[in-house]
Amino acid sequence: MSSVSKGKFFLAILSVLILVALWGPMFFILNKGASVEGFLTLFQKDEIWDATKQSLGLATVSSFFSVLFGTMIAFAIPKVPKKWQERLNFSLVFPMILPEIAFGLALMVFFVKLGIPLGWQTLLFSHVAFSLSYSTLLMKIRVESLDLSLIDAAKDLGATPLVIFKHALLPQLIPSMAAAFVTSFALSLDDFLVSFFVKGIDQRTLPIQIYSMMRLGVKNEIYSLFVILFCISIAVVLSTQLWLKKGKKL
Amino acid sequence: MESKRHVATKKSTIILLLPFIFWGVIFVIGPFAVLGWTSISSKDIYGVIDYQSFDLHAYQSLLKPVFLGIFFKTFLFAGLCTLGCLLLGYPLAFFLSRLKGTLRSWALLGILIPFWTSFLLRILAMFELFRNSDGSDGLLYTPFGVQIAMLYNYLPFAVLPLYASFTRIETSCLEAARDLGATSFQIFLKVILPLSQRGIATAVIFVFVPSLGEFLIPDLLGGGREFYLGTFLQNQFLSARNWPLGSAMICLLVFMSFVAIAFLKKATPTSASLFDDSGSAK
Repeated sequence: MSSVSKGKFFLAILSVLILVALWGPMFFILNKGASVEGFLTLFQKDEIWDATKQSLGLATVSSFFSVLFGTMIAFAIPKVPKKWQERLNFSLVFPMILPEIAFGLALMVFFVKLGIPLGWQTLLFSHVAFSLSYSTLLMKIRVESLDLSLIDAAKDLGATPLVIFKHALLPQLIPSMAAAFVTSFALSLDDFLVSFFVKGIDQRTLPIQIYSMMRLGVKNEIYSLFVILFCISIAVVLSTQLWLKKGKKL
Repeated sequence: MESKRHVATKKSTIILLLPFIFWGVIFVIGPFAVLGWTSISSKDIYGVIDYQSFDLHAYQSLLKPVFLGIFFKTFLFAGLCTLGCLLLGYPLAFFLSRLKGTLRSWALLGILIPFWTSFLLRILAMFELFRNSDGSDGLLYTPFGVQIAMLYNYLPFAVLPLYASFTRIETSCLEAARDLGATSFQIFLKVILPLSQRGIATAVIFVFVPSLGEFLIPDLLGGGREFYLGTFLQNQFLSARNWPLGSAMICLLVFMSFVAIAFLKKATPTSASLFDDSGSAK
């Protein structure tokens, strides 16, 4: 029995060490960035505000389309013949597993070949294209487990399609739609490689702005920017975890 | 009546599928078709591509030692990164999966938060770590530094699928093995390892395939002194303007990703999925 507890002890020590190694470097930066001067210079930088606005706008619009289309596709999948379902699933997973650089460059070559000027429109197309897989897969799980009896009951009670949709279907869909939206939003906000290749000259999303700042030499305001971004990601993860827990209890 | 209804559902299916057809065909299949087309076209000295031509020159030049070297090095780095992530992530994920209640949720956050943190932030963390306190380069711009940073960045991608597969292994299953007289090593080899095969395969796909195309780490931490596949591709498309060569390389990269995924799918026995089903039925 003592060898078992020794093994457990060793495992615990190793795991804690790995977690410390994972977190240590980030704390190092947080420590460096959390200074008043850093924040002050950061807030005076117009290009950062501009990039943040562009990123948030792009993420909102692309996530909206991603969820809308994802929901539509998720409803269509069960109606398609079995043989096609597999192909459909494969083409959905395809952009998820490919190295991102391949996807970004393929899109760039494609836009140039078609003569579509690189700019906001190509950024939007591309962001919907890569987040669509995630939102469709999330919605698919929900659609597969829908409680159809509610819809049948509404139908029997003489509800119009619009009423059925609003009162029997939508309440069941909304939690998954929110999850799909948050996922698409996060993916869009964090994306560097695809945006890097399909953006025009005027577009600067936040990751691209950060990248060019890092290339020019790391300065104190980048650390401060990271403190803010890091706090946002902690807040998002914590709130989704709490939300999931609440959902489980209900 | 019945056939009319059938037609109606067919029509609605097509309408529902329209966005998929539009985005899937136009924005996923289309780009790769054009990319394949570009790879077999010739270009003039200014980089303008003649799509009417047929030229396998790009594939021929892929066989040059320089490009084979880049491929080999990228594979080596991605492979070592995957191996490292498995070696570190496996015990960590197992440990997390055996924790109880609140402690487990908190420990899991220790992985989830880095996972959702921007890739750039984690690269900057490595940048700071590598740089010596006096400002000299230290581990920066060395292949070893690139390797460590890749390991650091991809570790959460390996831990999460492994953790998911470990949570499906019941502790009672391990206790039963121990009661039957198995040593710790035997339990690991005969129970834990076979039951987590699927998690291992997913972790390998999540780490190996993206790390093949890794661009930011070698670019920012490798200093661009040495070419990896990602930095090489960026260079071919944006600076050297040799699109056919770059396209041919991406085609090869995509092909190899498929080979890796197909191999892993084959290597994962169906017994693992069988257990998954019985596990969830419990």
